[in-house]
Amino acid sequence: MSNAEQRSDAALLLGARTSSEPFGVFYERHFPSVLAFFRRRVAGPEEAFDLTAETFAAALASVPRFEPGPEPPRAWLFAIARHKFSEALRNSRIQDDARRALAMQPIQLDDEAIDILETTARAAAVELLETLAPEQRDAINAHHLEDRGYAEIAAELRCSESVIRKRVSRGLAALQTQLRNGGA
Amino acid sequence: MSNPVSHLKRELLAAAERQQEHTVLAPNGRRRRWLERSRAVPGRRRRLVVMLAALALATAAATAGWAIVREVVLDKSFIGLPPVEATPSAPESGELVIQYWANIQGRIWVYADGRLITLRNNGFLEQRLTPEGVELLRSEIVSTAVLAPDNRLYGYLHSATMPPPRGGWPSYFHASEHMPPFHAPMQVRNGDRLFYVEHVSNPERLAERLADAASWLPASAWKDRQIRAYVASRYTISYFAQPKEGALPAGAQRPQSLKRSRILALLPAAAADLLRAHDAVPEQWYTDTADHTPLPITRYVSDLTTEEARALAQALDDAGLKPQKSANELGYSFEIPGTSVDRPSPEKGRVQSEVIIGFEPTLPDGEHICSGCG
Repeated sequence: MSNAEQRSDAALLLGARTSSEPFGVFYERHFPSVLAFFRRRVAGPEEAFDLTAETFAAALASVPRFEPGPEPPRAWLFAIARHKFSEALRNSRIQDDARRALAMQPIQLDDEAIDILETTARAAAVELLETLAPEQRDAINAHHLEDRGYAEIAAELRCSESVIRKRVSRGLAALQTQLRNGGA
Repeated sequence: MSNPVSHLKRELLAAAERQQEHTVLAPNGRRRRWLERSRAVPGRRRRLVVMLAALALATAAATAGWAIVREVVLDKSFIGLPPVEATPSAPESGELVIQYWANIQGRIWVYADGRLITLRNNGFLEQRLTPEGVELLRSEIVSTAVLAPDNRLYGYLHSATMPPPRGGWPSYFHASEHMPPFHAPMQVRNGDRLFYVEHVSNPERLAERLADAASWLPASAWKDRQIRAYVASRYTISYFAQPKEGALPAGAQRPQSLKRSRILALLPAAAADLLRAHDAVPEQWYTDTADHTPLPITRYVSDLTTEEARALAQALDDAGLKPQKSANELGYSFEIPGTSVDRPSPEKGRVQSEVIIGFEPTLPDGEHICSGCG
């Protein structure tokens, strides 16, 4: 693990003023969750990728102005993402201002690339599930991913059905809170 | 093809290096201070900044259009008013060619301009057909249908789930056993007129075909198969007063309808002013008794732009009313304090009444529907 990989987000963004490497680490750290953020909101992986690219380009252009504050840099990044999404909806198209201003080259996506993006976006969602308490994660897995009934799960875990229902609903509520806050 | 994640990283890192080489253009604190200092000595440095800025603009202009600019649309339906940024469906108006209301796929409207609008469980969705696609769908119905000569409504009734109300179904509705299991009548354009369908020769087949048109329509039938939210340009606002649900006992008589001026007087001032500025068309509506017998009442209907509808919703929100998004529609309601729109009954006391304000997107043919009714 390089030194940069151990640094905080704020340190990476401050370091990115004078060196390109820290921004690369910041990008790798947050790309999956930003991609997943857009993937949940737009129709296709291509649009989600374009918006993600535009978000990171805008973030890079803003690096010289970045000042660490009480909000984590992740919130700063997702504020840019939300702004890009609103802008795209308002104009009915994804803007490319930031990428053009930075003279970035276009990236064509073929089927293989789209598969990689879809896997990355899904992985971010799974990662989010991993942040839940184990009993909530297991309950959501069993009920929503394995499509098993509450009664069946309760019988297996030897607890009441209402306990399973509570775990599922509390887990989903926790996920919603994280998603609102720009989680995966 | 390289991994797009790594590819983008390389592009960003290269851009970062270019940016660091030209930090003089970045509007950071250092640059501001530099510009402030430069004010005293207008000349070479300022010209340098202007020149570099012009170069940057020229670079941007030269690369304009390189990116794959993709359209962004709402791909999920919504209930109530659209997000502020959403682009309305265009054109604003359209000629209706087909409409039906099926069991599973919800209500469907097809327009001559190719729009295929569906209403499902969570709002309206839109896809685009080609003229060929519209004609294929229309022919599918017309080739098997007998059009109602009297243009009366026909529909298959589920006797188990839709028992006739007391007094029977309205006179304009005629049950036909030769119709697909649609909840409501089907209309189709033939020539320059819209006809109701009286019956079809093979109801099961037609129901199956219409339930999954995407499975048999050829690729050439679609201009855009992408499903997106239907974003209306206008909203139909309805408002009326009625006895609260369950407040009218079984066997109750037709309740008294509250006049428009009285309803407006009960609304928050800003909302009332907004509605007062628009024409309101009285139309017959229904309220339920405790045994679910529909009794006619009058409601008032106004046509507002989406922005006006948004201002109305804001006025109601500001007055502390809670928006209710249920059964596909946005609505507000409040109890009329200490009053009754119905005649007081000495034996049973007053019937509690409420004011309802409903928001419905207006369809391209100007139709406003009760999207929560299906």
